[in-house]
Formats: sequence, C-alpha cells, structure tokens
Amino acid sequence: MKGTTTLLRVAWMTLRGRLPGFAGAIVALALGVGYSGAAVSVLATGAALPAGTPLSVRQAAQESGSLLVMLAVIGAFVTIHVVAGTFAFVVAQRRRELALLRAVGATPRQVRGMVIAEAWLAALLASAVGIVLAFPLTGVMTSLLRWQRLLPAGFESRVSLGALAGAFAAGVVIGVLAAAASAGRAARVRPAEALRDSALADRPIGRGRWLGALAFLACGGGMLALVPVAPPDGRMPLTMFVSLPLVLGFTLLAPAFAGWAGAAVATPLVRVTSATGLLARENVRQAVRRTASTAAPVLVTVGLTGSLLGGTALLGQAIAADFRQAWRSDLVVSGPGAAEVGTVRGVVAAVRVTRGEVVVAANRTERRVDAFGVRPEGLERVMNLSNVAGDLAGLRYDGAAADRRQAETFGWRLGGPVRLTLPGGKPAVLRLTAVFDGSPFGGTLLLPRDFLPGPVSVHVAVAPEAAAGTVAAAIERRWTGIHAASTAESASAASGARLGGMRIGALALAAFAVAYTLIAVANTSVMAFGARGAEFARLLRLGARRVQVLRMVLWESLSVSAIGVLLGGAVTAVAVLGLREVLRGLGVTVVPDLPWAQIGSVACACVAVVTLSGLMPAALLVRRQGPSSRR
Amino acid sequence: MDRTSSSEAVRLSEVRRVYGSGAHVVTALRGVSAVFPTGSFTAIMGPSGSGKSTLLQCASGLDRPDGGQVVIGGVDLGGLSERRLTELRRDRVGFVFQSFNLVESLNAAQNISLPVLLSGHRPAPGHVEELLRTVGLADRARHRPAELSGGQQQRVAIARALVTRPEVLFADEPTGALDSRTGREVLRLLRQLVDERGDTVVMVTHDPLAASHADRVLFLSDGALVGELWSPSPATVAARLAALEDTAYEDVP
Ligand SMILES: Nc1ncnc2c1ncn2[C@@H]1O[C@H](COP(=O)(O)OP(=O)(O)OP(=O)(O)O)[C@@H](O)[C@H]1O
Ligand SMILES: [Mg+2]
Repeated sequence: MKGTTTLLRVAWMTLRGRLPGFAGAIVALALGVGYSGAAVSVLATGAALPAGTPLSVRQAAQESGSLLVMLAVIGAFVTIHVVAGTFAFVVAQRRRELALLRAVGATPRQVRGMVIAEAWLAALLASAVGIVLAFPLTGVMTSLLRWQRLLPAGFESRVSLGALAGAFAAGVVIGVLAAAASAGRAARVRPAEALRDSALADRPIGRGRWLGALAFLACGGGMLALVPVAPPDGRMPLTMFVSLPLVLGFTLLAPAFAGWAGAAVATPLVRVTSATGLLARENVRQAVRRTASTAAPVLVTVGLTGSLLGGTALLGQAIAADFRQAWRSDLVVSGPGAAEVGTVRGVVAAVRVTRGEVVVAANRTERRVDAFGVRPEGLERVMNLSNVAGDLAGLRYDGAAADRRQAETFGWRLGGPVRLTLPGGKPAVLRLTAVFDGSPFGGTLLLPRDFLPGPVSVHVAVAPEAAAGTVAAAIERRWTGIHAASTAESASAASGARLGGMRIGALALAAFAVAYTLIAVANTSVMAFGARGAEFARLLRLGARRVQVLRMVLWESLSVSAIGVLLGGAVTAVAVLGLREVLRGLGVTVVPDLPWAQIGSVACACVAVVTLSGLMPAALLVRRQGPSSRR
Repeated sequence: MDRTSSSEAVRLSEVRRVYGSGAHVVTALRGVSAVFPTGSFTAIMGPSGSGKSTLLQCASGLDRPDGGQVVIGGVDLGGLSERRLTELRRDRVGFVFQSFNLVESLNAAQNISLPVLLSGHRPAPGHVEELLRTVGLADRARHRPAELSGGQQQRVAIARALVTRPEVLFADEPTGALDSRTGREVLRLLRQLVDERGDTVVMVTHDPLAASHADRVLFLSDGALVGELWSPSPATVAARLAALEDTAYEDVP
C-alpha cells in the first residue's frame, strides 16, 4: 500500500503520544496472555504426569483441569471484551484527530490501516509482556490450587513452551481482531467532524448493534434452555457460561439505556446540588457512548460475578431438590448396625445403598456419572422409579438400570452392554436390564452393589401408620454410634459437599474476573476523565471552583458506575431468574438465594474504583490547568 | 505541476446542507450557487451561524452536501468515492480550519509534512523549513501543538495547507486568532499565492480589514448568498456588513 511506512510512523507517533490510553488495552491483554499461558501450563503438567503418579493425584489434576478450562474460557472472554472495549474507547476519543487526518488527506483505508497497525504494535508488546508474566503466574496458580486442596501437596507445575507460544499467538490475534471493529468505525469518520468538538455529538445506536444485541440475548436464552437437556456434568459449565452472551448483549445495548438510566440515576443529584449535579447529569446523558463504555467494565464485573455465584447456588439447590425427589425413603441410616434396621418396628423396607462416581465413555468424551450400588429387593419402596421397562432383578447379577434419558444420551439399549470405568479405575461391562423415568435431572444410574464397594447407607421406608421421627429415635436408641436422619436432611448434606466444590470453583472464577475487570474499570475511567482537561479548564474559566469541578466528576462517576451496576444486575436477574424458570419447568422448585454479600461487595468495589480513578486524573488536570490556563 | 485549464477553480450549484433530523433540523445552506474563478481571492462574510464554515466545507469536499453540485477543477465531487475524494482533496485543495487544527501527537514540522507523507511521498528537502520560515516559526519546528500558542498553531496549519502546493486554498478565519501584525503577514502571504502562482483562495473572515485584501467579497445570511462586492475597501465592507446584520436582526421577531 502506498504510504505504508508513513502510516506506521504516524501510528507509532500517535501510539507513543497516547500510551496512557493504550496502557489499559496493553495491560488487559498482557494479563490475559500471562494468565492463559499459566493455566495451560498447569493443565499440560497435569496431563503429562510421569508414570507411577498415584491415581488420586491424577484425578485431582484432572478435576482442577476442568476448572482451569472454565477459567480460561472466562479469561478469554473478559480479555476480548476489555481489549475490544478499550480500543473502541481509544478510537472514540480520537474521533477528531482521525477526522483531521481524513481532512488533510488520509483515505479511509489509510485510517483503518493505521488503527490496525497500532493494534499490532500494542498486541505484540502486550503479548510479550504476558509471556514474561506467565512464569510467576504459573507458580501462583499452582499454589492457589494446592491451597484450595484442588491439587495434591506435592504437585509442581512447569511452564510449557507450547503453552507460551499458543498464548502469544492468541494474544496477538485477539488484540488485532478486537481492534478490527474499531478500525472499521475509524475509517467511517467523516472529515468534517474535525471541525467540531464532537465528543458529545453521539448518534443513537444503529440497527446492526440492536440485531447483534438481540442475537446475543437469544443465545443466552438458548443456553438456558439447554441446561435441562445437557448431561448432568455439563450443566455447571453451561450455567456458568450463560452469563457470557448476556453480558455481550447488554454491553451492546448499553448506549441505548445509558441516556435514560443516567438521567434517572442523576436526577436526585440535580435536586440536592446547585449546578454540579445538573452538569453531571447532562454529561452522562449527552455523551451516551462515553457513559456506556465507562460503564461496560462495571457491567461485566457485576454481571459475571452475580450470575456465576447466583447460578451455582441455584444449581446446588436444584441438585439437592432432585436428590429428594429421586428417593422416596423416609430415613437414611448409616453406621454400625445399619444393616439390621429392617428388624425395627415400623420399618417396611430397608435398602442398602452404596454410592460412587463412574466414568462413561460416550460420544468421544468421558462423562462422570453418579451411580448407586443397590439390590432390587424393596428398591421401588425407597426410590421413585416410574415406567420401569425391563427387569430390575438384573441388579442381582451384572445388570444395570438407568434413567431413560440418560440411557438414550449414552446410546445404551435395553439388553445391550454398558461399559464403564468403576471408581478405582477398573473397567467393567454390564448389561442394561431396566430403564425407568427417574428424577427431573435424570442422572440416576443403578448398579449391583458388588460393583460399588464402599460405605453403606440404608434407605428406610416407614409404615404409613408409624412416624418417621419415632422410628429414627428407636433406631438410634438400639445401636450406639448409628446415625439416622430424614432423607431430606441427608440430601442437603450430600449435595452440600458437592455444592462446596462448585462454590469454590465459582468463587475462583469470580475472583479472577473481578481482579481482571477492576483493572479495566480503572483504566476506562482514567481514560474517560483524563481526556477532559480542556472541558474542565473551560469550567474553571467560567468561574467554577476546583472543588465544584471535582464534585461534578464525583457525581458523574457515581452515576456511571450506578448504570454499570444496574445493567450488571439485569444480567444477573435474567440469568438467575431464567435458570429458576427452567428448573421449575423440569419440576424442581428452587428459591433464588443470591449471595448478596459477595455481589454487593463487588458492586461497591466497582463504584469505588470508578470514582477514585475518575477523581484522581481530574484532580491532577484541575490543578495543572488552574483557573488562568489558556488551553 | 499540472494545472487544469478550466477558468473555474470551484463551482457551486444550488448547494443545500441540512443538519440533524426530526425536530432538530437546521438548514445551514439553502441552495447556494457561486463560481470561484482560477486565480481569484474571495472573502466570505456574514453573521455568525449564517453558514460560512458549512459553505467552505462543502466547497472543499470535506463534507458532502445534501443537494446541489460541487465541481473542483472540472471534477464533480458528487460522483467520487470516499477514496477518490480524499485523493483529490489531498492533491489539489488546502484547508485551514477555524479551530482544532493540528494532530496533537505530532510536532510542527511533522504536522506540516503530513499531507505529503499521506500521499506516499516525502516533502522536498528544505520545503518544510521554508514554509516554517514563511509563517515565522522557523525556531518552532520541533514543538508539539500543546507547546504553541493559538496563533502559532494557526500558522502551522496554514503552512500545512500550503505544503502540497494546492490549486485552491480554503481558509476559515485564518487570522481570527492572530495579532494584527501576524494577521497582515498571513494575508500578504495569501495575496502572494494568488498574484504570483495563480492559485485560488477562498477565505472566511469577520474582519473588514482582512476582507479588503480580497478581490471580491460574498455576503452570506441565513444560509443564502445575499450580496457581492468587488474591489472591497474596509469601509465599504463594514457598511455592507452593518446593513446586513441590521436586516438579519430585524428578521428575528
Ligand atoms: N454538525 C452540526 N449539527 C447541527 N447543526 C450544525 C452543525 N454544524 C453547523 N450547524 C448549524 O448550521 C448553521 C451554520 O453553521 P456554520 O458553522 O456554517 O456557521 P458560520 O457562519 O461558520 O458561523 P461562525 O461565524 O460563528 O463560525 C448554524 O446554525 C449551526 O448551528
Ligand atoms: Mg464558522
């Protein structure tokens, strides 16, 4: 292209002149690259454990591996979101400069090329920094996982060169792609815009943006609808990822909401202040794009944490509710003497049950499935098995019984083979001798008890005329050390452990997302307020006192972060309430019990960061400009 | 450098420009027709908001009119792609804006060379220094816009407008931010371009003294041409302007 070297030079010169603006994009991208390099390194170490590594270590590495993959997905998402947002912001702030370039003779293609060239420079720089960051991050991540007991104590990760190369390449590609949309927008800047102060001359959002937003929201809805049909072990990732398209959708819509949301949030301020509230409200409302891009990182932070934590809490409840629906027994008894509770008065059925996780190879992936070791006798008095086809008696020998939908997913046919890996790693082949309609989540797999050794709990059905509490008391009196609890109680205890694991995972995801997005929040806020020196100087010349300008900035940053929190709250509401409706449709009723404390503190952190990073550059500008400044 | 043989550097026919939409529509130009002959120096005057800047932007190809036709050196701008339009503007037209003139991250010399660099060439050796001397800023070549006064920035912008040796130079209040001595320098420079090189200059100004350097003054009011004055003197211009502003304010109920 003609003049390419010139453009590179101009790109380099403008980049150098605007490093603070790019700094955010570079920091975000570098962290993303370093983070994914570290995550993949830990994954690679786990996958290439030397022969002779104990099985428990292998399994732990595998389990934390799936968490790391989820972290990587969220990390990539946040990176793209933040980097694209920062570039869009840098372009929006430079509209006049770009228009000026167009006016003095740059073609649209040259302007696009220049923005892309800047993106290349920034992406290469950021990815290189990220590679360096990957080394300490790998160590930090490994010790965090060890600390959370997700990895065994002796586990040490090595930085993988392949992972670094991959992260570097991905970083450059993400950086350049994230800038592509902004470059297109830059190329469409009209030269006549050079002649006016156009930061406020915002257009409403276009049709493409509406369509994109609706498509993302529909995608989020579709993922919610998939939750019930997904295999049980895929539900948790699905729930966690539902928020991603929702966040994108709301981010795209943000400029449409920012106007009236800003007005609604800031109007009370207008009442209680003299002029600063009015100025703040009009600034927030008129510069909808600036408002929206400053609010966007807050939206991501609040939306992601809210829906991650809320969604897993809901899913945990659903698992407990599902367990309660799968078992119709009244009591669960465990401990010495449990095998003999059948002799207690009032007990009509006592079924010994063991529990374990088996691995099923299906559709080229490995699925972990909860399995119960049982005997057929009395089974239907303690479990809700409807529409049984085939014969449960097969459970006496080498027959398996499965929920109808699950059997279908795994491609098991009545009378056909069932191949699994038992806990402990031993492969086994059974025959599917019965299918039934299980609980709403449909995850139940029944095996002969001999295949699942381990601690036995006894599910007890009590005669209609006897009270479960009395029977439980009688049992506990008769055997010392025995434990009898209602099925509902033991259900929540059982799912509590799993829920704990999910909570840790969700918290790890959320904590990472928050740390990362808070940087973006600070960066955008610094850019947005730091670029307004001329405007502040004008206000000072009009007779505003410095403290008034700062107060205006305070109101503005409060309003902007409130908009972000509101929209993030909308993401959370859609994700959590949608999930509740989906679960209700399945017949599982759950009460949304949001982790308000955590979401609240994340929201407060966002507000604090926006406000501080808005006030600091403003304070510097106001001091430097002084009331008598010329420019 | 090849020159178009056409005797009309720029021709406007029934140019209309409307800003905004819905209830906020502003008609900035309501059908303006004018010819700027090659080698002429025209001043455009009129009350604030009368559409002078808009007229200049449309005439120079910076903005596309909503109706009518603009022809520069025999080329109808309406039919040009964004890229062709840019190239035509780059090669034949110079522009000095009313404000916001320079790329903040480039120094004075870099700002001046920018149009040449963008066309894939380098300025002839010494050309940029010569232009800097012409506008009286030989010692400011390495200064960033933030380190220059408003008038100095304006002069850098004038040097930049001249660097491609344009056939037509549009200037929007080029002397507005200058003291009277530097202003006179700039006006003499523009006059020189017309007299010695046969360039065409179109200049917007509020200053009757500045307008008196032109061959002809066009008066604009409320988006329409309302008068023309040949061989203007400061006094005649001031009188016409006063009359114009009186009627303009009488229109306002
Ligand atoms: N981008 C825009 N959007 C809306 N209205 C505009 C825009 N640009 C100009 N106008 C309006 O068009 C009219 C003409 O503006 P223009 O800048 O051409 O005036 P002018 O004669 O150059 O004034 P001045 O002498 O003050 O520079 C004005 O009423 C102005 O408000
Ligand atoms: Mg003007």
